Amino acid sequence: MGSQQWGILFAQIMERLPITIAMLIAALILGLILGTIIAIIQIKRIPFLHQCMTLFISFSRCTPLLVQLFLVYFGVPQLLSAFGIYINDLTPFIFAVVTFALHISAYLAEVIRSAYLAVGEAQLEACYSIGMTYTQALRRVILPQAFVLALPNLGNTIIDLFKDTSLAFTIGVVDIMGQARLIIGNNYGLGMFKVYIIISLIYWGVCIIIEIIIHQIEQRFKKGRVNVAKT
Amino acid sequence: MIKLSGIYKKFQQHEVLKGIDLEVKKGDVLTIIGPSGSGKTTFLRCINFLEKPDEGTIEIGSTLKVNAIKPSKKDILALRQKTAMVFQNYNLFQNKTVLENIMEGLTVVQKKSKQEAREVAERLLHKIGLEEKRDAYPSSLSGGQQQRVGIARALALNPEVILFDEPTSALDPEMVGEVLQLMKQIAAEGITMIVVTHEIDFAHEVSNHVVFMDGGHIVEEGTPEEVIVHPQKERTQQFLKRLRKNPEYII
Repeated sequence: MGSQQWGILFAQIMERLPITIAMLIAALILGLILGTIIAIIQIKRIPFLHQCMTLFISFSRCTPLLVQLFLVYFGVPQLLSAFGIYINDLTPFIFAVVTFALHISAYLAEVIRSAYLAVGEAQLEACYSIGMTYTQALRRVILPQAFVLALPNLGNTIIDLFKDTSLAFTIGVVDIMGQARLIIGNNYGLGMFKVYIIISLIYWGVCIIIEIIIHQIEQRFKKGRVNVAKT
Repeated sequence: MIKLSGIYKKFQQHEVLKGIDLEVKKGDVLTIIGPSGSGKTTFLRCINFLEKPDEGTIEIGSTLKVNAIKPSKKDILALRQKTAMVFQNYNLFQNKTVLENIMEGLTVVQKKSKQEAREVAERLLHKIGLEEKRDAYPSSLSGGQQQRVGIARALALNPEVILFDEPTSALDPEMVGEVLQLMKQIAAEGITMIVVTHEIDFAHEVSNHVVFMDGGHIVEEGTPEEVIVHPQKERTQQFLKRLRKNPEYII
């Protein structure tokens, strides 16, 4: 009993931190790619796709993530099996990543869209005036600037996503939350308090690290942008 | 040679350009003057399709002729690659340094090597007198300095024509001089320029072809002597008189 046990519990839960981080990073990368595509569809108002994406964003933001997780984990395999595709042997980890990626892509699309609009038409016209194509303008001028403008909101979304990964245990992913539940289950519910204290400290600690990283990136990429509000 | 014929443009119900025909010879410095809302800027933006004209054709050189009714993406791109523009609000790339701003079109559009682009950019920086700002970002420059970089960015591309959209309108009176001076210098080098401006003295002194626009039409055109000094049309006289009017009272 005592401090030794705290240490053991801490180590046991930390063992699973790589799973949580892997989920976070995989979902983030996928979500960013998807979110950028959705944002461009929304900005360019591409017919049909635009309406579909508006519907998707609305659904994604207005239904609980837990429900979405179950929909993807239980619903999608059933749906696909009707077409003769069987994905039942995929690990829960993959289902969790896909769900999280879809979920944050809706938020990220809005973050990216507002940042894109904040860069302004004038920069795009400058690109056109020297003969760039839209794709070149996006890659060289618009997106790099939009990225900087999006960083604060991006940081919020990443932190939200990090905490949301704790839902993955419900479909059987043994991340840090899953591990905590297992420990509690093995002890017949004893020591619950300790485990939850430890895991909340772990979440907190990682969040602080994410915040610091985002802040560092913001400082690094700020470059030409002058903060008007800061005097 | 640049030839524009029958340019029409409507914004919703509002007809801004009602059939503009214009020819600019190589080495010409054309200034477009006229009251606000006369369509000068819209017309200028039609030349490189920042605004799509509803009707008309645009010819640059002997090889490129673009019909505004159904232009291909390739045509629009070609048009933009043969022209360059200097904006009222400079529109420098905010995420790039002064040097990178000038190099951008050379490396990305004209596919020149970094080395080559850098040489061109350094030479132009020297010309605009901003060598010491080569690694500064646009936000740290004054308006006049930004506009000079804007001009250098356009010059770097060695375009058939440079379009100036009220290049001094957003500047402090103190900085107008340095920009006009630079424009005068490049005009003397024989670069074809189309300038929308309110600087009548500049139009008079530097250009060899003046167009007075009002209400979406070209009212009068000719040499500065003809249009600015001895205007024939009443509307032109009225506009110039108001512009030149002595102050009614002196504080």
